[in-house]
Amino acid sequence: MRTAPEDEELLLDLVLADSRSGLFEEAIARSQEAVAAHPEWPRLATVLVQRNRYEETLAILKKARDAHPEDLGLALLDLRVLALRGDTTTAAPLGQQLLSRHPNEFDLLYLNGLIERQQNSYEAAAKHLQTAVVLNPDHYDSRYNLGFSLLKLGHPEEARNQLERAIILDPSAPEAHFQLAAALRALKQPEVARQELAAYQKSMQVRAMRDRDISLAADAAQKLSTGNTAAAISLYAEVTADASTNPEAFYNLAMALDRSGDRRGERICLERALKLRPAYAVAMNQLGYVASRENDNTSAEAWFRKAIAIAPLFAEAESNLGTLLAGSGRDSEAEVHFRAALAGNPRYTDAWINLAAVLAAQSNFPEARAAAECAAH
Amino acid sequence: MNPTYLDRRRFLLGSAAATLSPWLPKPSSEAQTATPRPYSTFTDIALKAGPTVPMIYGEVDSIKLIIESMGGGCAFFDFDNDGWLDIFLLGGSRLSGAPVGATNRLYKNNRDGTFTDVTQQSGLTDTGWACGVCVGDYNNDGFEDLFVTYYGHNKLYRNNGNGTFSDVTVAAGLYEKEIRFGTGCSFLDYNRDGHLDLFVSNYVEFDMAHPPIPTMANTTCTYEGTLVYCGPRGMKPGHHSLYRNNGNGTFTDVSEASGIAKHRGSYGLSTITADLDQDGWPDIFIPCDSTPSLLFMNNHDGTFREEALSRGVAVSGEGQELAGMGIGVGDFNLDGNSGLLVTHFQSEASGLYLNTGKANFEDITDTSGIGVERHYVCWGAAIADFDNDGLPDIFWVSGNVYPELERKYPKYPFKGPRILFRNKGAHIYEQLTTDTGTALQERHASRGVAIGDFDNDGDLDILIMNVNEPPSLLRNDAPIENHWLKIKLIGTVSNRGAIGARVLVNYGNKVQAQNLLSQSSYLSCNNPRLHFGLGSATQADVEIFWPNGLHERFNKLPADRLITFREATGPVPAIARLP
Repeated sequence: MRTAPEDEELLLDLVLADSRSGLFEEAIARSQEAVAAHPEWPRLATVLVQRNRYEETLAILKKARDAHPEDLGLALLDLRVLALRGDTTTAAPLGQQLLSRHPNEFDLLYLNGLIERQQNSYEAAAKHLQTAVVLNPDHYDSRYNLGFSLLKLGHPEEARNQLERAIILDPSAPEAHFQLAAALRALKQPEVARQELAAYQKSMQVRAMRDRDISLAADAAQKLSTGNTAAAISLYAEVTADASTNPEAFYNLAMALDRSGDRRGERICLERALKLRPAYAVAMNQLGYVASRENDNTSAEAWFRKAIAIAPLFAEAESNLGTLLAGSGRDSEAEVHFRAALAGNPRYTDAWINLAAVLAAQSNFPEARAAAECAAH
Repeated sequence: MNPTYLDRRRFLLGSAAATLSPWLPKPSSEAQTATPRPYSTFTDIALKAGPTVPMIYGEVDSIKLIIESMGGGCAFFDFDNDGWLDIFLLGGSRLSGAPVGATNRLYKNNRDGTFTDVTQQSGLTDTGWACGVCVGDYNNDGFEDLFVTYYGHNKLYRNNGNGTFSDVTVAAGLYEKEIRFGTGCSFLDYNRDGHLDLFVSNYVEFDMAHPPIPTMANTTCTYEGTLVYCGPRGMKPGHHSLYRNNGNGTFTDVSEASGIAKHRGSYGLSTITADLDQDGWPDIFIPCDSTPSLLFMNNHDGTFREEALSRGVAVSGEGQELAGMGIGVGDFNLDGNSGLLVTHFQSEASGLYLNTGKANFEDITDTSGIGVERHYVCWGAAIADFDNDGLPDIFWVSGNVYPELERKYPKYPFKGPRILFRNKGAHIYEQLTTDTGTALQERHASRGVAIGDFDNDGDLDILIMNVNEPPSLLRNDAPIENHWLKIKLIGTVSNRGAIGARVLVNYGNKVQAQNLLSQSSYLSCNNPRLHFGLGSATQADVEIFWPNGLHERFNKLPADRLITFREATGPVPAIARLP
């Protein structure tokens, strides 16, 4: 992290970008390294939660809270992880203590309501969640948990209203459909309840399929790493068959096809990925690479620039564009992009080497030497 | 058996997405409250009594493949018809090869509180990855037969009536060419022709030669940042099978014709078959791991319809798929309907489902008090009246599946205690620990549990399969002031063992239902003699709903004895006397 952005927000953005792209291990490695260097940036550790690594997250948060006991943001984060973990024994007193000091804080009202709902204290939960909903009417989880609590308190009509609002906010969330079905049964509307149960089942099936695809994709990645490209392609193809609307699945298949030399197949998969996710910078970068490999430098440059426009710190795209420009003698432009690549990833050895080269080509030997030294280290 | 799926899609965006409540409340010791009435004490007598051979199942310190995590079931059954319960335990193997002595084990009851290992003489010496056992007299010859599920090929062992068993799988038409991951099984007479049919649940599709390789990128192979064996999430579910008994010692696969085969998508574990909606026909319930459980309702025409979700027993009351390991069946609220207890993974409460009548279930886990215990991975389970006070209690065993985890986080121990909740009436339970002797606190990686009165002293003892250790045999010493009644059924028109029968016993002002099951708990089989605690009542009325539809009632039967009923005949002399 010797030249990493000295900014927690920026690093958090990078970590989120990695995790949103399915690059969880990269995100975790980046965040762990940052937290080690900056213990005051514990929010970075929350990416661990996405991988079920609660114990590590809580340990990092505890250390940070011990150092900054008055930091409300940290306390909220801790409470959030405890609630998500379901550790109500620890979470409940912490939540109450914080709420007594910040009675109008939305997050605290919501989290206290959630914890009380988890503890079957439905009256207290409903009270806090009702206030939370007033403060933030578009918060799915507050609506869902309020609906759940009202149902348990014997108010199916009010529960129904909240759960229907929750479903409008997130139609894909299975739990709200499940509880709405229960509310509708209580309201003697069995046919509509059945429809909600069907919606619940459909959402759960999607979730199960996603689990299976994660497993297949991991298996495929493992096969690819050991050189069994054919098996990897077969597994990735199975994932795309299951998840025909998942752009990452098509991207992964494209990369395996790239390894096997199936250029046409690679391009088709990349285009499919982009169709599914028009702002998919990683796929744009790869299409740029495919175009440059086919000597279509105009298209390649366009793809790299599109990728960078979407993801300004996308080191690989910046470096690729720099390489393309340097290849056509546009050294000063190339230099800008190699420097941008290194701002995104200071450990990008190829970018350091290429930067050294274009600096040398511009007779800027001192900086070229410095860049080369960075590459060597 | 991975943890419940947690949706954390909004987490980093600023709001917790906790829409479920796996919580870790106060430790067990705090859950204990004073018990005003005396309760049973339990003593582990296994090492003195004879079942002393460790049950091999996977490596001790590390589990690489999902098959190693399963552990086996066990059974209390009377293979020699002497009136004393014998013991059958299922064992596994090791990836490096089966050690000497790795096999299933049969122990004969010596009628003096001890057992003799008769595995060799009996012929039950197969070695493999055995999972589940169900007991039933499939050929109606008066001797209980065994069906054992395996990762590999399941086996039907016919009881020859002379202390030996024969593997008749192929001759019976039950051999499947493909490698399958059989788990639950249950004999049932689904078409009421008097011959026991067979249901087999399957777990996942798994190729031992090409197992998934754990990587950190694959969340189905990690737990709390630790690499563990992969699955079941991410694996293809197995498909379940129903075999019709042809009445001549052979079976026909009717999975397709019955409608069972089309219901894939759930990782099936234990299986129970019982008339849950009281229409006189057996239904099938399968707790499933990390997927919705399945409830096949009998259509009375050879087919089944799956209705677990609409009947409230597919998922938790919060709509969450849980681990669905073991199952107990019993009328814990004394209304004449059998409810269900389903055990789950750590951080998940075991589920208690009240049968509100016609197999419609209500999840009462949290209000019952059993939801406080969420520390352990839970397996074999039972709803049984251990202290004979007339109120069925709740019991289960525990044991983790990730030995690697304990080394990193001691809060996830590989070996866990036994969990007992005393029924206080009105759907309320209290957890008991130290008042019941030390046996419940002893820690093991346990799996199967069978309940039965092996010493014929009028209370229910507990047999437990422990992974890579000798089994536990918990002798129950119940308060002597409470009364009891045991009922053994012999079918004539119905299947000989009367599997599928439902019995109602009225005592004091209570009524309690019990079902005669071929499997329950975790892949295990309880004593086929139904045992009712009667509390202070010294007599009881008994109603029997035989599998073929006959309904009989017998009034004012005296307590503290075993009564054997023959279908359409009534009480007949018991084979063995009880003290």
